[in-house]
Formats: sequence, structure tokens, C-alpha cells
Amino acid sequence: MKIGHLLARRFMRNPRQKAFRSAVVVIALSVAPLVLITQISHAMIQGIIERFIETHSYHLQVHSLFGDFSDAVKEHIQEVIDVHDTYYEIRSYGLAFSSEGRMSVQLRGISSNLYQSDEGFHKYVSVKPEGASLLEGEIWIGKETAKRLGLGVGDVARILITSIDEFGQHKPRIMRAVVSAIVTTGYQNLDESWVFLDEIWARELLDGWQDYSFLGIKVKDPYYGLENTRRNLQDFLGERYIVYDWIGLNRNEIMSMNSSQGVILFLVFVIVLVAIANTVGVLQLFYLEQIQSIATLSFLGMGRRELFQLYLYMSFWASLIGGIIGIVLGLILTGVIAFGIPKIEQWSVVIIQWIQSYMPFLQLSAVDLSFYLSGIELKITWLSLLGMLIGIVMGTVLFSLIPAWRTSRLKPMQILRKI
Amino acid sequence: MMELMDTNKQKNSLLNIQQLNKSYQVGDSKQIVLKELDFQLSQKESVAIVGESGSGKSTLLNLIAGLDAFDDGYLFSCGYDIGRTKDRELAVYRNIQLGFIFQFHFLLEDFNALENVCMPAWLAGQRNVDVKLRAEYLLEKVGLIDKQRSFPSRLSGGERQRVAVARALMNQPKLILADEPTGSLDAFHAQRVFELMMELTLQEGGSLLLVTHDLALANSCSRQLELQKVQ
Ligand SMILES: Nc1ncnc2c1ncn2[C@@H]1O[C@H](COP(=O)(O)OP(=O)(O)OP(=O)(O)O)[C@@H](O)[C@H]1O
Ligand SMILES: [Mg+2]
Repeated sequence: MKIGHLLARRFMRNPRQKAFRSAVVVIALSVAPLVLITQISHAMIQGIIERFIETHSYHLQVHSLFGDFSDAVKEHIQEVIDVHDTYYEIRSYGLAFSSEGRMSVQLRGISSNLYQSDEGFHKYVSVKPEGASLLEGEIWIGKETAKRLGLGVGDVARILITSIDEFGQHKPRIMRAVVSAIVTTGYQNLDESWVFLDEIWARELLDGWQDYSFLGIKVKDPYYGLENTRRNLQDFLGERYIVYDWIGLNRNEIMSMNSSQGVILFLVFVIVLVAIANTVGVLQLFYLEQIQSIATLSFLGMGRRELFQLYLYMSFWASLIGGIIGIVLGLILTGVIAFGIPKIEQWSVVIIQWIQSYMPFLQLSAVDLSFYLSGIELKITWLSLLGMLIGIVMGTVLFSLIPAWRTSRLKPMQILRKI
Repeated sequence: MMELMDTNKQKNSLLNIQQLNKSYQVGDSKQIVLKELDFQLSQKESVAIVGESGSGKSTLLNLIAGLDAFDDGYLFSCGYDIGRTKDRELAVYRNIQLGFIFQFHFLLEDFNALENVCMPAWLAGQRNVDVKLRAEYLLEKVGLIDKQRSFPSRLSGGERQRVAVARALMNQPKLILADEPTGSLDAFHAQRVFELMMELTLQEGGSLLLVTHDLALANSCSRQLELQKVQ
């Protein structure tokens, strides 16, 4: 072991040594929110992506250039790739209106096997009332649409759609359907204009020029080897079909999420930089605190190099210990917040109901965090935490080079005079 | 004026000081502390430096140790031309050739007695068992082998000073510089520490340069050098 290392380890354990502990605290307190921000934003983005691919884009989509999908194709697909299930969907646009307003909506004619038994769909789409039917003449509408149009379950919704008549003319037409459920994914941007109807009814209803249909596929693992699967399927189906994967389908959303994550990471980087600069500043005090020992060592023959090393070892340990404490602290915070968000909402509902029961004239609405994101699922990104730790340690040691060098240049007499 | 009571100038001396001048800049004025000092010290010799307070005794030791720069003159010590030696080599010189004992013990509070004694060897880059054996041997000699695990804060003044003596001898230095090493001790312990220091220094083949106000101790040395205040 290097003598600088030995000295650093003893000095930092000295109960009178405050600078070292302060440096550890500074690092820990800036790393903790960093961990929180990166973990929460990662979990949020992951949650959003999952909602997109489980409820909207599927993992893969097969589009036919000629609009033909035979059941033979569907069966063949299951032979070629490791498929969970396949679902027909037909999509179109319309204008929903009521006395309270109007808004453009996306009509989604979905397969009964999707809304009845698909795991991912059930996990992320909450249907109220639960177990509502989606028969011919019935629709499920997004929470935001329902709110804006003032529609509730049992109301009749009117939607302007276009279809082509027997002479090949486009003609507008108003479809009427009973709202049998209100749906939400917890992520408003995704579901605000959804109108679900059964695929078979949709096929009869929508034969306008805006419609398109495709075969949605859910695979076993959408995050691993999907590009290969897509290519295999494309090769198998040939030129009559086009196969898309979720990354390609959601490119815009992914890009905007990546850029907002980029902004967060930049902020994080600035926080770390400030923390490192503070730590290095605080560590300079360590030298003053240990001045007597350093003077003693210098007349015992400690050279510049050892003093330089001692300084760097102090930085190394301060940033490593501070970094680890900060990460642990940050993970605890993350856990509290991630599991706390849904709780905050529940409590706020309870509290508001309680208040309103005493003061019914008050119009209060519960904190609605759920429309943004409900029930974050934490997946700790250990690798990024490790990277963060390494970055902080390297940054602190790097920033310490100059003060360490300046300290090591001091002549012993200058040190002795400071006592 | 500063006078030299020493007449036995020797060649091949361990320490050779000629026409040494040292002054301090205090504000605008210059205070001369050492003026044209000549002094030689040979191996296995012990010399007591005496003189009134402020006569420059500590200053002289600092110059010999290469801890401070002098104005002009020559200062050769243990084969080093101190005025022309780079800082890095001076650190090696202090580590290998010199041993220090001060009025205040200057032990490292974060290390126990044994580790404090080992420190000069560790700083020299030695980390083997021999280091520990030698440190134990020295602690045995100063009668503190059973306190080897004690930290300085748990030792008495006399014990700390004895640890400092052992530490000064660790690397078998050629020259021991002692600045009032017994100044903070009572007569009994002062005598004990002094005897140990003398005995061990000579036994290990080193020379001793001792600053003291104690005339009895000064007379126990082979020679005395008296410094006087420059007017
Ligand atoms: N760093 C310094 N800057 C300016 N003046 C100094 C410095 N160090 C010592 N002096 C002055 O030099 C003179 C000699 O000081 P020194 O410490 O060598 O005396 P000393 O003989 O050791 O005295 P004492 O017996 O009291 O220890 C004193 O007048 C002191 O004020
Ligand atoms: Mg003095």
C-alpha cells in the first residue's frame, strides 16, 4: 500500500477531521437527487413506452399493400416467429361532437381477443366500469374525450365519419353509439382521443378512404431481438406486406422522450459539476486541519509526490464514500416517491371527500397525477448508477489535481509557519 | 556579533558550515539572525548549542535541515550541499540522514506509537517486516514496548518524547537534530530522555546537535557552541 493511501485513510477517520466528512456530505447530498431524477425519469419513460406498445402500436404491425389478410397468413406468422398473439385492428378518424363541444377522435376497431384477454392491454388500459361490453353499437371512449364532450357511461355519442357509397362517392355520415365504458392508460397524451369499437362492427361501419387496417403482433420479449424478428417476418411475407416494429412506429415519441431525457441529463451533469467543485473546495480545508501532521511528515522526509498522492487519495475516498451514500439515499428517496405517488392520489381523494362531507359547497378536485403517470414501475438501472459513481470519483480526482499540485509545492517552512 | 567557541576544525566533517548568513525580512527592515557562522561537526560527536532566547538556535537547525533558505555562505551536511539541493532531494535527505526531536513531540495523532516509529521508514518506501522489528527494538530500548499500540493522546509527556526519540533513530540517521527535546519535561524525565538520546545516537553511530538551556545537559555533550544575539 502506498504511504499516501495509508495516511489518507487515517486522516479521514480522525474524529476531529471535519473537511473530509463535509466533502462526503456534499457529494452524497448532490448525488441523491441525481439518482432520484434519473431513476424516476427512466421509470416514467419506460412506463410510457410500455403503454404505447401494449395498448397502441403493438410490438410489430403487418400492413398489407392490397388489404388482404387471410387466416393462413396469421397462422404462418405464428410458425415463423415466437408470437404471443396476433390482433386485427382497423383505424380511422372522426369528429365527435356534443352540445358541450367537439373534438377529433381516433376510431380504433379492435379485436375481441385484445380487449378480452391480452395481458398487456389489460395491464395498462383501465376500463370503467370494469368488464364493460363492446358490442355492436357500443363504444369505449378516452377519459379526456368524455370530459370535453360531457359524456358519461350510457350516453349516446355522435361521431362524424366519412364512408364511400355504392357509387364510389365520399360521403359524411353520423354514427351513433352508446358509451359503454370510459378508458384511460394513465398517460393522457396517448389516450385522449381514443374511441374503441369492436373490429367486426368497425369493418362494416368504416369503409371510407381514411381507414387502414393491419395485423398487430405481440411477441414474447419486445425489447430483445425485435429487429431480427421483424426482418425474418418481412422475408417470409414477401413484398406484398410491410412489417414495422414498435421502435419505428413510435419514433417521434421516443425521440422527444430522449431529448427531454437529454435535458435532464444535462442538468444532472451541471449539478454534479457544482458538487465536485464544492467538494474540492471543502477538501482544501482538510489540508489546514491536518497542517500539523503534514508539517511533521514533511520534516520526517515526506516528499511532494507523497503529499500530492495523499491529497488525491482524500478526494478519491470522499467521492467514493459520498457517491455510495448518495446512491443509497437516492434509491430510498426514489422508492418513497415511486410508491408514494399513487398513495398521494388515494389520500387526496379520501381527504377531499372528508372535507366535502363537511363543507359541500366547496368544489375540490383530487390531485390528479394519474393522468400523467400512475403506478410507476421501478427498474433500477444499476449500470447507469455504476457509471455515475465512476464519473463522480474520476471528476473529483481530476478537479483535485490542481489544488493537490499547489499544496505539494509548498515548502516545509511555509507549512511550519502556518502552525 | 556572533562568536564561535569551537576551535577544533576538522576536515571530512559530517557537518561543515562556513560564513553562513541568515536574516529575516520583517516588514521593511531586515533582521540579521546568524552572521558569518563557521561550524564543523564530525561523526559520533555530540554538540550542545546554547545561547539566549532569540539568538538563532532553532533557525540554525532549520537551515541544517534544509527547511529554510539562508542568505549566503556554505552549508554541507551528510554529503549534501544544502543551498544547492532541490526540494525533492532535501526530502530524501531529511528522511534518510536526519532525525528530529523537538520540544513538542510532533507525533502523528492518528497513528499509534509503533506506527509513529515506523513512519520514517514507510516514507522511505520500506514496508517490510524488518521495519516493524526495528521499531519494536527501538521501543524496547526506550522502555515503551508494552505501549506500542497506544496512541499519542494516551501517552504521558515523557513517553511521547521517548517515542519521538525512537522515531528520530528509525532510519539510522547520521545526524540527530534536537531542539530543546527535554524542555517540557521535569528534571527526572528530562535526564532519562537525554540519556536515552545520547546513548542510542552514539550506539547507532550518529552525531547529535542539541539545543538546550540546561547547562548540566550541555556539559554532558562533547562540545558546546554558544550563539549570541546579533545586535
Ligand atoms: N519566520 C521568521 N520570520 C521572521 N523572524 C523570525 C522567524 N523565525 C525566527 N525569527 C526571528 O529570528 C530570531 C531567532 O529565532 P530562533 O527561533 O532561531 O531563536 P532561538 O534561539 O531558537 O530562541 P528560543 O531559545 O527562544 O527558542 C528571533 O528574533 C525570531 O524573532
Ligand atoms: Mg528555539
